[in-house]
Amino acid sequence: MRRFACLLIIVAPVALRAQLPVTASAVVGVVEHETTLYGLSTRTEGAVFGGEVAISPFHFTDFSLQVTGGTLTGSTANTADQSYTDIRLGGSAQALPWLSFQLGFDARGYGEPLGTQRWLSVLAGAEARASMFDGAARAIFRLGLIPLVSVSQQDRPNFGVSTTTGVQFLRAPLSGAVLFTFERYDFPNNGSFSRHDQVAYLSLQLGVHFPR
Amino acid sequence: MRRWPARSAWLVAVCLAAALATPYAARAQGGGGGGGNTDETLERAVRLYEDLQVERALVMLRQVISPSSPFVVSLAQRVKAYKYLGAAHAILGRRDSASVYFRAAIERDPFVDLDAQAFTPVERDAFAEARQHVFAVAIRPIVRTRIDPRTEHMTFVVLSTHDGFLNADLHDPAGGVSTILASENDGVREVAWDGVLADGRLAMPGRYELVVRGESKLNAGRTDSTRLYFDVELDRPALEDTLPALRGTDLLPERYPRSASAVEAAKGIGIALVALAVPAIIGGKTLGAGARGMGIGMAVVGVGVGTAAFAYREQHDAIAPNIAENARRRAERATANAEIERRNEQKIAQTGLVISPAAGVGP
Repeated sequence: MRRFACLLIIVAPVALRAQLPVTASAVVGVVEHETTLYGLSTRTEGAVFGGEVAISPFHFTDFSLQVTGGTLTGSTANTADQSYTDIRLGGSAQALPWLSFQLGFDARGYGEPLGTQRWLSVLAGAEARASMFDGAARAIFRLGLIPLVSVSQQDRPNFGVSTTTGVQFLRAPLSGAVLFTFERYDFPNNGSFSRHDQVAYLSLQLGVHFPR
Repeated sequence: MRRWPARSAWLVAVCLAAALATPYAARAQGGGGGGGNTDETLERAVRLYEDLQVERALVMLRQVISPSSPFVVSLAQRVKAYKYLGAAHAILGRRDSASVYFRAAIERDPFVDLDAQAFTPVERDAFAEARQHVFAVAIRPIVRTRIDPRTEHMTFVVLSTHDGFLNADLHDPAGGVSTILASENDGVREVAWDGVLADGRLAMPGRYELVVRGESKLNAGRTDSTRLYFDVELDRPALEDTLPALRGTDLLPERYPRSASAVEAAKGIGIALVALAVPAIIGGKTLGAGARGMGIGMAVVGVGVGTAAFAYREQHDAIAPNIAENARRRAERATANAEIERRNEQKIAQTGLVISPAAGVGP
């Protein structure tokens, strides 16, 4: 987590030095992770904090790196708390003024006393945008499939989907966003084992755009 | 039956040939371009007059003006005959007769004059006296002329036979009247016109009428007038048309339609619906309270944003980019038209006027 936070701190000045449009944002969010194993659900939730750097090297292309972390508290006394670390690296290419295609890589870790479960995934999806307030804001609708997921000490899920909706505000040099992301992963059900995971993530971002 | 002698037959043949040939000969003599014989008679009369055989000259001159003359007599020939008749009578000391003939000549052609090289002072005095009794104004016919209004002018030659007040009005095709002369005058006078009308504009193409009116100062109440028709053409490169006014289809809408507010609200409601529905659909029965609460929170934000967007659009229905684009198009058109007008003005500045004589009615 610290290494990636350092990466964020390094990436932003490098991009700025290259005179690329950069948006550096602080991220505050709430995460709920629910695992249903053999029909029994366990939930952890808690606040996460982090940051994001988004770079626009070309007019129709954006790249972003978001790092968040926090502690997810078990919803019941029998559920252990989890440390939560998430690193998202994404890129998008605008196809139409209201539509862009996205490709993302996500590395996530759920740390428990017995060990840390690492999730690595690749997301492919699209984002539709609708301008509001004469361009000062836009409604966001994202849908992505997660075709490649790897979970440590576990078979890989055979289905993964992610949706995001929310609103972004753009008031140069400031920007902000309220986004709600919901993910679901289904693991292969071989009769004796069934598992699916859901992750809900409501985030608030406040950022500054450089150069101002 | 008695046969005609051969001599009589020859006589009849000669008479027939003569009878047939006579009309052709007369036509050849009298109809050759307006009085070939009249010209000869006049030339012979003038030669006799110059040889001081005045009485014989008078006889021939009277033949020319006689109504019974078998030959065609043009106006110019008639004027010349009257002029020499007047001069002959003056030489013979018959001033009254001289005056009558001179007046007849002046009335037919006010520009007629006696050349000081060819006529004696007695004749010229008689002619001058005749001019005092006749008041006529005239305009000399013009020839096709091109003028550059910036540097040249058209000259009309007008005349009053004696001292009087002349007024020359130019009637343009639009019905306007420009006065180009209002002055006392005695004799021949050149009147210059620079091709500009009374309103300060360059003469438009079309038919013009120059009307000269005169009032004698010697004989109260004696007036005369004459007119000259002429055509004016503009000689310049073709002018360019300016760009037409922008139509509705050429401009972008500058106001959002009334439905735009509802669309803005729908975007926020769409956020709310997706935030509520998608987790429920994907998550199914096991959807956690936290996720549900987040969805509700996002939905509240979406509704709030949609409501604010609705209110914003109600108050701000102007499409700023379109307004700017339309302004740019209007400015572009105005610039193009200004350039066209500038080029046209340059062409107009080079406009020449071609003035040519015309027949028929005026404007």
